[in-house]
Amino acid sequence: MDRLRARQTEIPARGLEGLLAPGRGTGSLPARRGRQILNFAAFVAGFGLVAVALTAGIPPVRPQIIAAKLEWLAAHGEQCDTFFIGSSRVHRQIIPALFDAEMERLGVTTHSFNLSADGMRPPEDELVLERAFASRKNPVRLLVVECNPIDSGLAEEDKGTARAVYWHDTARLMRLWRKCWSEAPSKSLGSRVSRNWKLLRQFPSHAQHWIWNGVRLGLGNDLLSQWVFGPTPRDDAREVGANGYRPPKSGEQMTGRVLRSYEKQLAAALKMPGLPEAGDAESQAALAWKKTLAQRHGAQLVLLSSPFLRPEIFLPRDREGITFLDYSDPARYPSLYAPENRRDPGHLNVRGSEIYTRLVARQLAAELKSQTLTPR
Amino acid sequence: MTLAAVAPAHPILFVELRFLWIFALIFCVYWALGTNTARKVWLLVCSHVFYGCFFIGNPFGFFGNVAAGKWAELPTGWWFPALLWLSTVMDYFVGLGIEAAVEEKKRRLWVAGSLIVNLGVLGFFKYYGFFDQNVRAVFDWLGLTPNWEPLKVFLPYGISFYTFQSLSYSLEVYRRKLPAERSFLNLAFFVAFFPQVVAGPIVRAMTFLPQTLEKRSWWSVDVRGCLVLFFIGFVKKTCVGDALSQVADLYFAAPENYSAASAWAASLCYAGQIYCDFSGYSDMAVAVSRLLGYELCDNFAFPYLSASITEFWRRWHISLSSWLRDYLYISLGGNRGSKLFTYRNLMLTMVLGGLWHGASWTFVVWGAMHGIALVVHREWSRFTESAAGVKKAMTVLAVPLTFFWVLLTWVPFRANDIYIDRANPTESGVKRLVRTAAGFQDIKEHELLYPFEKNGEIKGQAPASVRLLRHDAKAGVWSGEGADGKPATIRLHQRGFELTAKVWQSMVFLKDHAKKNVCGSAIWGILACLVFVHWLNSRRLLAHWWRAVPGWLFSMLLGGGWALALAMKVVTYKQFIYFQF
Repeated sequence: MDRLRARQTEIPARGLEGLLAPGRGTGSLPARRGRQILNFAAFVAGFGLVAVALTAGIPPVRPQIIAAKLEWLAAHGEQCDTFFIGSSRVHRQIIPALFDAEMERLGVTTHSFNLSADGMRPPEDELVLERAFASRKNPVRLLVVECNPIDSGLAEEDKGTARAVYWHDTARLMRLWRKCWSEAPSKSLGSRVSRNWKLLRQFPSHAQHWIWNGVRLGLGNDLLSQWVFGPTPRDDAREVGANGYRPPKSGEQMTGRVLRSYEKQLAAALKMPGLPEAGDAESQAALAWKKTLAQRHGAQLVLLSSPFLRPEIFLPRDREGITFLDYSDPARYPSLYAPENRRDPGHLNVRGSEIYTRLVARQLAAELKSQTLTPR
Repeated sequence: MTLAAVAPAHPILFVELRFLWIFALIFCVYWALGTNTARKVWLLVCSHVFYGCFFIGNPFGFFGNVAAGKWAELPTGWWFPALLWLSTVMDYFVGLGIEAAVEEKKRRLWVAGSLIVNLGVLGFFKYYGFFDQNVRAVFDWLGLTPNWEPLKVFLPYGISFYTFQSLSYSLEVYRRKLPAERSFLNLAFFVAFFPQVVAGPIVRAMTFLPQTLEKRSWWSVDVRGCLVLFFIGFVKKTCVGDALSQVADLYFAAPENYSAASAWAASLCYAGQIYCDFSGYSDMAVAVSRLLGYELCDNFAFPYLSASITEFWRRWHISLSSWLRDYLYISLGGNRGSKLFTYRNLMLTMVLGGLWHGASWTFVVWGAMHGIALVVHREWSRFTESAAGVKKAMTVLAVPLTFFWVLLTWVPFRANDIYIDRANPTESGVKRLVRTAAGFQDIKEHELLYPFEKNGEIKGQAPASVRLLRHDAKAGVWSGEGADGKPATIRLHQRGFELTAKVWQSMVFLKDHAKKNVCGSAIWGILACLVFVHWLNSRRLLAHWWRAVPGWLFSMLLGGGWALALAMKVVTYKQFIYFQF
């Protein structure tokens, strides 16, 4: 105790040595460097140990909408046999109740659930699927996934939020890492770095989110808030009640400049539709992963190419065992591209969503009946 | 007419990870440079880039637009950093002028010039809106219609801080306490030094300039102390201050919806928030500065444990209170006159101190309440000099009474928010809202007290009168939706006094405006824990144990501490409260 007090009264340690041995700033340079390295390693170890303890003991902080959907599925999910997952183009455009009714009308009984969230793209959707199916006992009939390449960008406004953090586990980080190197895989390192520079530049941000996920960023505060304010009323209860569907945002139709611009784009797309694009190898690997997951649960993987205008249409390279529903061609599906059925150039309004949902249901029912898909 | 529109997109906060990267670069280059001049030039450049980024956002994008001649795409407040240069250049020449002047009259003219320009710029940017609003109110009262267009003037970050800092130099040279600085580099570096340029501490020239003369030695840096101080500041701000703000924000958005207990809980939370927010910022600023070898002054010393309001002002925002004492109170005559003269000076100092915080009558009231308390305490001290028994009896009550008064004063201070009514849209009073919503759109949205729509998601909390506030950033238009869901025009106004009265009713007379509580009773336990930790720390019981442990253990604990702090922090970055002053 006396020694401790004596040390406490010493003059504060100076310089970087202060991190290593209080009050002792001397020693040979290599010894000091050694202590600095040891010290840094100890810092990382301390951080890592706490992070590991937190990761092992506490589930990640999930955004409300995802948490609500996963909780609902854990409690009632066994009754569902068809799952939709994707971005807002599935979240707000596929209406499970309507889909089920249409299928029923066509002689196929299903109970579907929309697992999507706005902006959900690979590899985020992988994690949600993994969690949703983790403890599932009953087989799944259809797994309908929006066909998108891996999105390696993070919106500035989402950085650090639960929505961006929760899916950054090690598996997803590795997927992104591989994606970063997916261009020109056989070239020299320098050439690969320069070809992939845009993606590589984004990787530190993902690594940062991985660390945040490891320390369960903000979880303590969330728990404290719940303790102080009580459980937060879930905005998503309504949505989960509607089997995961969220109606489109307000603003039912395009007007003015937006409408004129869309009409121009549509005319151009009718003359020259989007080009098929197989994307990078890792995005294809992500599709293969989904196929394996679907097979493991006895499901048929259905890939959905959403109806909106874009210059490149991402396609699966290997279509064996996959049903691909392509709605990217405005000439083939004029009603989905009609301005009166769209809320904005990228999204359908409620009327458009109903048409779209019915179309998907009809096509899937037909394929199920014609045995292209294996009925359960 | 827009003179200077919205301030910047990306203020850099000490609590952000990007600050860590920026600082790492500054730090490594700084200590690698060989000469004192090179180091100061480097820090000066970095300080101006750091400060400039508050206004121009991403410098690459900004200079790209400049190079391409896209003037229309520049943020309209991009020239604000020039004000920092204006202040520096002027005070440099004022200093030399004062020193060169032989006659007292000329010296006075020089210092008056500095005061007029510095305070004129500050006054214009900070008080124009307030002045305009009040003149219009007088015109309204007289039944006249003002026929001039109001200028849209927004407050540049840190102007209140660096103006006072820069003025301290002119005043100290004038008072012959400091020789005029011959090196422009030293003075510019002093004014712009990035750890404190935006929100203090307001460092005196006398404290800082001598430090610029010598090359700082790495071996004199208390790294361990700096790391702990920075960590404590981070925890105070992100884990405590921001967390407490959730209760305060909810309550102060609509106190009429809550009980008396809520008023107490929210006021206590706000007291905790503002202390943790500002002292956390100061801790981080001091730590960052020390890591570069420069000492800043302390800004806080456990103010809520003060036994009198006089003591409170020796412990709260020390750099400002001592500035006001030395340059305002003493300049007004201090206590070198009659009792009334002294009290007048005290009141004036505190009211002006209140106005320094912001251009609003609520800040005037806040300052006046502190002024009154200082006068009462002065009288009380005189009375108890001859009544030792009373003094002793009051010792027990001194700290709680002082804290209670401080707590009451925080109510008008906090009640400076803008509220929305469904009435005619008007420009008056939108300053903070617009600055908050548009200026810091990326990170400040959670600060809005109103629900608003962004990217299709409704965020924020619901006040009574408006269900949703939408901001069309491209069109720059606000539109509202009433509680009934119907479209509503909105009127943004300050209701500081109305709100203050409501909260005081609840706090002093325990009036329940409604039965609902703003939060569960758990908040009392949390507050009690915070008070206990604060008290322990004030007794220095937690102060130095970490110096005694071996280096590796210290590092390990610090690493673990950071991991825990990240788990406990509020995720969304919240602007430091004092950035708005």
